[in-house]
Formats: sequence, structure tokens, C-alpha cells
Amino acid sequence: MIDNVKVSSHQLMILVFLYSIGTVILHTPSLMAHFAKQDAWIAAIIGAGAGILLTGLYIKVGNLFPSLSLDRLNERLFGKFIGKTVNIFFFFWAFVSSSEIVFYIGDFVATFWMPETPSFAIHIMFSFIVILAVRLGIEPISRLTEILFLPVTLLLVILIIAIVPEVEWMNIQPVLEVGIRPIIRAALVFVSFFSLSTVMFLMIYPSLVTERKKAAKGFLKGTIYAGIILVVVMGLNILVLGVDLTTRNIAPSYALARKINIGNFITRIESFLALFWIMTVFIRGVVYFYVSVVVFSNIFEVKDYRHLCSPLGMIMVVLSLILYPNIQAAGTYDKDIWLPFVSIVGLFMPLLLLVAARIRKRVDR
Amino acid sequence: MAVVGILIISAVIIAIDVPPLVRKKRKKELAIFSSLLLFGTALSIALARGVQIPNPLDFITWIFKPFSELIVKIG
Repeated sequence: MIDNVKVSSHQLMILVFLYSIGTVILHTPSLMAHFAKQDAWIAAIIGAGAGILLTGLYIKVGNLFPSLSLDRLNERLFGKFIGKTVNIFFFFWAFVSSSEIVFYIGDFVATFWMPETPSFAIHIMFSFIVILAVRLGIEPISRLTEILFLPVTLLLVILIIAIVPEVEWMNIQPVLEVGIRPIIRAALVFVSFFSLSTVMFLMIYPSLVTERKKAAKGFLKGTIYAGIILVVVMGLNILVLGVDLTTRNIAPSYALARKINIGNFITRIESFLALFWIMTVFIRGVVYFYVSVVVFSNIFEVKDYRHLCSPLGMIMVVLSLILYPNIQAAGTYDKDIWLPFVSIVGLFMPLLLLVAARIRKRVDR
Repeated sequence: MAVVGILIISAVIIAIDVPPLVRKKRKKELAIFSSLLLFGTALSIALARGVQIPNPLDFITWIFKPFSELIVKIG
């Protein structure tokens, strides 16, 4: 491992922000509208709140041993054998998720932009830049996020302002008609994508940041900003497209951007949305892949993770091609299986770490 | 044709990653690297030839099905 890499608190904030927006902004609104209908925006607010609480939990876990990353923390607190087993599961989860990201990009580009290009070509090209970025290390990646931050935020704000004239308030009425259970279900979907997977920033947060106190604030700020953006986008989806269209689209936010029409002059600017979506998804893919490679090399106690990037990347490409037969299968998986899968690493693992730390403290006394 | 392409990619990866590992005499890393690359190449060739590869997602689905049925009861 190279230990002299450092990420500043500002960079961590942007990294969390871009990561959290990632896939969520395009695909999740449709899943949430499926459950909570016109009240999906309420579910998004509940989910964002839960996300902030979860970030608090992660910061607490990170502060247990500020010099250790999550996988080393597992080994330290659970013991060598159980720690390694947990890490293997953690690696497996992160690796499958990184292949999923590649699939999403491939599917999106093949559906909306290049229907005649074979999908494996897109998968290989996207994986290639992800592998390249991870080989360079986390420091260049976090500098890249600083470059991406301004264009992404600017584009987002412009898109949000431009779509406001299309809002129809009839679409969210009647409020709270579906009852409380579907809203909770939709909020769970939101949490599972938005915040449970940010647990992987524990690989970066305490051990690789420059100022720990400020970085914790940056972590929290990134989550809050992303939460606000996602709640607004969720609300706009329902307000502009209506429940029916939001549910039926595989990428409702893309259809939303298509609706923008400023004086019959500025129209069809949805490609801008897709452009920034690809940037954020790229960041998400890079973080997933970085974490899986680092955890893998720590399992085998390899000193330099960079040499394992390309062979693991090759396996990632194959996995991304066989993972889902089509986007419908991906939807079913995201809806039903992803939540318990991600809760194990995102909720139970940090909670168990806290308990284990408390027990250790008592034994040491 | 596809198989040739895969072999070329593997060769390029070897050309980039193996020399520094050999120079530093890191035997363990070399062993892990080679087995991963062998696995990756074999998988890619199998995929290119249309061989059915077991999907890890089926396994995950099988494990988490009972939990997801609990969640479905919520809404």
C-alpha cells in the first residue's frame, strides 16, 4: 500500500457528493414512483434524512481507529479469521457493484445513443478508463472530482431552473393518498442506493484524509448536498412527468430533461444531463472498483494494489456482460435483492464494529 | 477473432505489469497476478465462445430471497 496519499476535506466532500448522485439520479425515481406513486418525494425526504443519520454512524465508526481503513478495522476488531471472512464478503459486494455500474453505463449508451454498437465495446471502453483511474490512485481521482464539481453543479442548477416552468401541481395531488407503508418501502429503496453504500468511504475517510475533523464535516456536507439535489429531482420528476410516466421510464430524469423548452428556442438538451450523469457514474464506478481492488490486495496482504487492477478489471468486464440479461432483470434485482445485500455491509457491519469496539474496550480494562 | 483479441489484451497486460514485479522479486504478488489474469482470460474466452458462465447474481438472489420477501410485506 502507498500510505502517503492524502485527500483534503473539500475533495472528500465533492467525492461523496458526486458519488451519491451517481446512478441514483437517473434510475431510482422510477423505482420509487413504482411504490409510493405521487408521494415519492416524501419518501425521498425521509430517505435523505436517514442517509444523514447513517453518515453520522459511519463517521463514528471511522473515528474508532483513525489510522485504519475499514478492512483493516475489520481484522483488528473481529480478529484475523472472522475479519478476513468479512472482508471477502465486502470485496465480493464491491466487485459485483462495480460490474453493475459498467452494465448501467453500457445499457444507457446502447439504449439512448448508440443502439447499433455492440454493448461489449462500450463496456470495455468504460472499464478501461475506470481501470486507468484506479491505477493512478485515489489522489488523482479526488483532484479530478474538483475539476468535475463546477460543471456538474452548474449543469444541474441550470437544468432544474429550466424545468420549473413545466411543473404541474396537479401531479402530486392527492398528497399522502397511498398510505404510510408504500412510502416507507420507497424510502428504503432510496436509502439502499443513496446512503448504505457510502460505507465504502470508510476506506478513505479516517486513514487517507488530511484533517480528520474537517473531513468528517466534508463527508456530512457531501451527503446533505446530494440529498437536497436528489429530493428536488425526485419531486420534479413527479411534478413534470406525472406518476405514470415516471414509473414506466427506465430513466425518467432523462425524459424530464427532454421536456425542457425555453421559448421554443432551447429544446432537447437532455444530452447535457446524460453527460453529467456519466461523469458522476464514472466517479461511482471508480470508487467501487478502487475499494474492491484495495480490499482484495489487503486480503492477500499484497503491498501494491496497482498491479492487480488490470486482471481484476478484465474479470469485471466479463461479469458486467453476464450479470443481467436485460434492464428489467436489473430492476427486479435493485428492488428486491439489493436492499438486504447492501444492508449487511452498510448497516450491520458498522453496527457490529461499534459493538466489538465497546467489548474490546471493556476487556482491556 | 474475438479470442485473438482477448489474448492480445492479456499479452499487453503482462507486458505492462510483469516486468516491474519481476524486477522487485515479488513472488507472491506475481502468483496472485498470474492466477487472476489466467482466470480473467479463461472467463473472457468462455464468454466469447458462448459458453454458459454461472452468474453470481443468481447465488446472491438465492441467499437474499427470504429477506426480500420480508421487505415486500412492508408495502
